[in-house]
Amino acid sequence: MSSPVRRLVPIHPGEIDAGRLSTIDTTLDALSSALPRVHADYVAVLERGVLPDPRWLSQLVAVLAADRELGGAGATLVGRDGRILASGLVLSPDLRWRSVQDAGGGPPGVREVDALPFSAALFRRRCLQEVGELDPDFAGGEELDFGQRCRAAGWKLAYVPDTAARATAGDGDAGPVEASHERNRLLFAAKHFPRRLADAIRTSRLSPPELFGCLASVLAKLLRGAPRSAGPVVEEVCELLAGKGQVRALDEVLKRLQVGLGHRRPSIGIYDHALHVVGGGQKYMAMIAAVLQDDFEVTFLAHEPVDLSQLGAWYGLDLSRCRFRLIPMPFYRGRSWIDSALVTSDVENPFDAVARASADYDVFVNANMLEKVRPLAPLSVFFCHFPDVLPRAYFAAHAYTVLVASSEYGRNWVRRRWGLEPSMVLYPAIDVRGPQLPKERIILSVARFEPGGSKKQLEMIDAFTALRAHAPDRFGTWRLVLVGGSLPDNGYLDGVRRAASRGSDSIEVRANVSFDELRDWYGRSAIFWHACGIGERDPQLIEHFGMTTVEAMQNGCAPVVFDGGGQREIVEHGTSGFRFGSLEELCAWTMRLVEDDALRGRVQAAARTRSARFGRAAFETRARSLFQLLRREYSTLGAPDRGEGGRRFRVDSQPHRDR
Amino acid sequence: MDAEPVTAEEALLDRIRERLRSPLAEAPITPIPPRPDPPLDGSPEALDAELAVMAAAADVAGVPLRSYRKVLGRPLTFARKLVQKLVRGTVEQQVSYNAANHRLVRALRRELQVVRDAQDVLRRRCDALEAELERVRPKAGAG
Repeated sequence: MSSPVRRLVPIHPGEIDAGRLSTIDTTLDALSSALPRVHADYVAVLERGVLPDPRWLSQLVAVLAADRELGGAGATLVGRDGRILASGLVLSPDLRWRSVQDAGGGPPGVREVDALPFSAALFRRRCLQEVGELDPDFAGGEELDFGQRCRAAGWKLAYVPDTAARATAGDGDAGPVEASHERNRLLFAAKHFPRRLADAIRTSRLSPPELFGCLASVLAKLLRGAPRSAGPVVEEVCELLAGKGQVRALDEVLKRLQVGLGHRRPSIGIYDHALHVVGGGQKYMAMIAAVLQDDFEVTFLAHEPVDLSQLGAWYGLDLSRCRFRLIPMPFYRGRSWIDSALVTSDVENPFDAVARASADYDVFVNANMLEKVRPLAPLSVFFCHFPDVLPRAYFAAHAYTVLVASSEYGRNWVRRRWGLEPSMVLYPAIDVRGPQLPKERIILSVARFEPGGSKKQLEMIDAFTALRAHAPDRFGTWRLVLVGGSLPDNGYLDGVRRAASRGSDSIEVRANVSFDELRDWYGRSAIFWHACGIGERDPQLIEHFGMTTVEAMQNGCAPVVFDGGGQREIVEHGTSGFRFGSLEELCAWTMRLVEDDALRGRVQAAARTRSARFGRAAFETRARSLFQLLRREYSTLGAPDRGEGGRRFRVDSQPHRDR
Repeated sequence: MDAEPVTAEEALLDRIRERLRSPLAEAPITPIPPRPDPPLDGSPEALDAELAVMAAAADVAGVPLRSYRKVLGRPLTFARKLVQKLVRGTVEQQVSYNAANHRLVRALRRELQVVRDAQDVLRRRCDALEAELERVRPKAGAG
């Protein structure tokens, strides 16, 4: 297909200064780029895929030359099937645009119109310069706003029916979609006829989600255009919509408008039903809050009073700019633990109290996987470490804007159990690097002494005892140290202690040690064991991530870990550690590390390097970029065709894909 | 003076939101949207992973019963064993049903693989035949 420019130049020699703007996508970009370079009296605009008749240019030039008040003239755009796709546009009293043909009547020949499509038009350069740039908010309908501004500046526009241009491909202007038309109509009213905006909304053909999807942009246009006189119009529009029972959607729009217009920072509500308990999940979210508190108004929501300075002290974080809000939960009064499984379909959902509170924020974060909380904030994030429960009554995890998993293992099970696709993986931040100490012949395990024995300390004692019995010469000087937290009166811990005492003094059990002592063990230990998951069938009982493995690696321990769950994402078998499927394999890989000092040194060094992927800096960067992305999308009140309504984000997890 | 419109604008939005506070408190919570259909992953790896889960969970009679609780541990273990004895018949029936299901799905999985392999062979033959046809067609036309 030959280019229109290439055809035009020979037909109008000497008259055309043809410029081809190869990287231009929109008419707005084209005019912005071309105008400063143009010195001719007239500027022709041809859309891609439009081929004008040979006489098109001379006819339009003649029309403009004959009337100095004319700022532009346009031709008929004809489709390949002979149908008229675009012509001059006339504004109706209801602020809808009609083509000259549809508007009916009028004498044949050149006609004055209210707007010209940019498909094949000619403008006087002075007109373009006086009226100024196209308004990008009118995505796909810039010519309507431009026409109005031309006329306001005293320029007339003419439609020349005798000349035509043809769409040579399917992308000629076949008429915008109805919803886009209607959105532009509201924007047009807000900008040029503010007093008629409420009426335009009343007679709008947009569905409620479409209307509320573009309303923030429309009101922003109104307020930016005439801030002093816009007040009564905004009040009238809000009254109209509130009267239709749309208060929740309206409040969302106003919230977004406040942020978009820069009145306040976006607010984040972080809900954790177990905030009062010290735990890895709570630390994970507290770290995110610490990162965000300067750019957002962060509030923690919980059912038990929590002192945020105490919370910060637990995790070594400054949370001084965060706030706390208590949400009473009478349903669970007298219980020490909130178990969502108690809420069945035959009772009213007590988590509706949290849902209502969520509506007070721009972003609602469900930090601890409480799957029955319906988010009512405009944006919402659900953090899931593992989908412990099946989707039953009041399940709402799919109603969140973003779903974040904390490991690929967790992501995989979210997919399988909940049928949902997490938007991204955000690994926990591990930051337990201590001073580099000389390595001793210590095999270390760090895991809670779970009353059910899921961390497998007894199995590790069996394996170590077997190793010593099998190779007393090589293992005689090695020790196994089992470190971990425990609740009081833990029968399993007693069992571990009894089993350890049978292995003379080569096995040591250390419960509830201080942070300094823990770091000291990491620093001195040469090898790290993690056996959680071995012999288990339930995916919940396999380590979802393995924070202590990373902690050990940060301190130069060579890890030998169970080949399952999140451990696969941490330890590269044969490089930064070894993974086992059975106790026999655990013994075999450990034997290799014990026998080969050089291999052990290499693995320890590789483990240190590998652990940097899960460090605090990587975590903070990714957490910040997630929330900044949400903030950017939320506060940009621009062209209304940018996915408003059913917003759904997918956050690329590229940095971790190369494992 | 420049800041005045912004202040008025802020006050305007605050005022309208304040007015909405009371109706908002009474507004019903919109119903939870229906959950989307879970995506189906039919890749060999995904099918094998599901088969492994099925195999691991098939023997519901083999769950560990021992409790490590300090005081209640022994009675709990005893009670669990007692319950296990009482429901042994039903549980065994479930175990054999699960095992049969697993065997059946394994057989179907194998059959699916055979069909896929055969389809691959046929597709390759078909491609080769089409290529051959393309090669001889000009000659036939010329003849």
